[in-house]
Amino acid sequence: MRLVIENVSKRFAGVHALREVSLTAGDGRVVGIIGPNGSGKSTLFNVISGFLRADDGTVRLEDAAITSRAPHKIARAGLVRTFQVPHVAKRLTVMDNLMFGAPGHRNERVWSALLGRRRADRFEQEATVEAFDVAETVGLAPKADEYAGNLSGGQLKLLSLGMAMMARPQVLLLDEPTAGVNPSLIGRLIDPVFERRPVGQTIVLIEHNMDLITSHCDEVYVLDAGRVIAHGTPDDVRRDERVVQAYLGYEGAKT
Amino acid sequence: MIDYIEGNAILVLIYALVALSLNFQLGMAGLLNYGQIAFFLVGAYAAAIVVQHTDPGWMELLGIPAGAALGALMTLPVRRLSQDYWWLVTLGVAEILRLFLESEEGIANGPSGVVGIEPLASQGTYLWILAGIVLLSAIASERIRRAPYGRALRVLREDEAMASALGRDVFSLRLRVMMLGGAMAAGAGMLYAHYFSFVSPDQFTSGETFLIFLMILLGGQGNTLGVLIGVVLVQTTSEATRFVAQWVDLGSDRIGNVRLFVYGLVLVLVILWRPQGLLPERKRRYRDRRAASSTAPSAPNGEGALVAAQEA
Repeated sequence: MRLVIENVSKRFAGVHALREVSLTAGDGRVVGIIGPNGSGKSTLFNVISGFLRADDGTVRLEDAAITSRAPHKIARAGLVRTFQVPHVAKRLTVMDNLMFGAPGHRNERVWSALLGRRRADRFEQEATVEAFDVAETVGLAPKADEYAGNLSGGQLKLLSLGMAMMARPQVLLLDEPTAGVNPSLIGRLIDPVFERRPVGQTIVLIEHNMDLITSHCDEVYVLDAGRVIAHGTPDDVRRDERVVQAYLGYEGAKT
Repeated sequence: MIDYIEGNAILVLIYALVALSLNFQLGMAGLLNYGQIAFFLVGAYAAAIVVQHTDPGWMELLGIPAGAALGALMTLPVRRLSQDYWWLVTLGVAEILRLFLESEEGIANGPSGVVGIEPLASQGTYLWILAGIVLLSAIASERIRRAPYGRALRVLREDEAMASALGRDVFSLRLRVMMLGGAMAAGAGMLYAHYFSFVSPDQFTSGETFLIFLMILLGGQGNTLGVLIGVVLVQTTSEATRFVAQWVDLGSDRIGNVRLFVYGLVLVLVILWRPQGLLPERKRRYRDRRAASSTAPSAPNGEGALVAAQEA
């Protein structure tokens, strides 16, 4: 499934957060997005996933235009995003959260709750097996029955990634999954996502950690002040003059 | 004396229905509905209006879908607003509805209300019928709590953005819980009208909603048994203050005020010291059946190996 973004712009009270951003991700590739703080990376994710309206431009998922559609419709179309600050249900257990990650909205009905539906029960059983597997993969199996509110910051990140894994989307957007994590633990955080990655899943990854970008991404887009200033393989982008300037500042780059 | 106890038990059971119906919204979905009494009113007035116009008796059952419809209607104005405005809209709707019936004499005699709503059975029989209905409702609310729907409601209570990022239609989930709560409370209102045989607007003030809130918060939000305990505690203490009024020399209106004061105090203390209520929400434990399915492939019941998700 291809995610195609064409000329997307977004303004906040005169501030151009995104200016005619175009980006393509698909065919099971891993696409990185890097850029200095405030360059519009998270805004781009919010626009793609429907949490913000685009002022201009189009977002397409395969052939369907999903520009500014409701977030839940975009998710059902096959695109799921995570948040920079992990979003989990704190007064529910780790297993409850993982179970909720499974795309079971069709089973969440009053009538099937009251009368029982065979299809809903089977879905629930299969999801339970998968949720235990995911809990093991992300290392939260010992905490399966713990309230999510009692987890540490790193464990919350693992849980929110686990929920995205349960959703098995065709396009997965990860917003700085390793932000604020001790560098020695980054592998433990990101490896499970790739370990349990469904065949053909496209991943778009916002990251600051260049090593992670180099080792995992097929291609990279660089954003600066809301514009795409470079695009290519991680090695191309690393050598790109404009990228170095954007990160280090123009004065620093000259000397 | 038996009559008196039976009468009180009937009131406890009717309140139990209303409290369970509010618990879906407040306890599970985290929606502050301060207008729950409006659904109760709709059901009671459905019974009252049918009596007045001597239509066929079953027509009053339309009060139940009317309660659901009112629930849906209340959801619309808050569609684009955050959960914080929920209480404002629901309280407003309930008060408007009550004041409308009070000032509009043509519909149900305005402030003087409707008398002569016939009982459905003798008091003793009615008690057992109600006990059966409450039991069924308790089972239903337990089923919903354990079902994917109940889980989705609780997730909604915690984090809407996450729910919609994972493909959940927040509006539709809320709409359905409001319709469920509305239908159930309207049914309770009908049963109340037939027991009390008299319906007037001042039985449906927001103070009643406050009492139901107290029952749920004291007993334990999201815990079916806790809610039922809360109902019994609040309703019996409320009744007991009548005797206190006889012993100490206080006017009945003054005792009513003291009671409200004490309830308010209890509510504050519960929120401060035991926010989860007497019986906290139960944790759902899922059973890991993976080992069973892999190590025992020759198990007699192959499908049974996958059975999971059971309450501990």
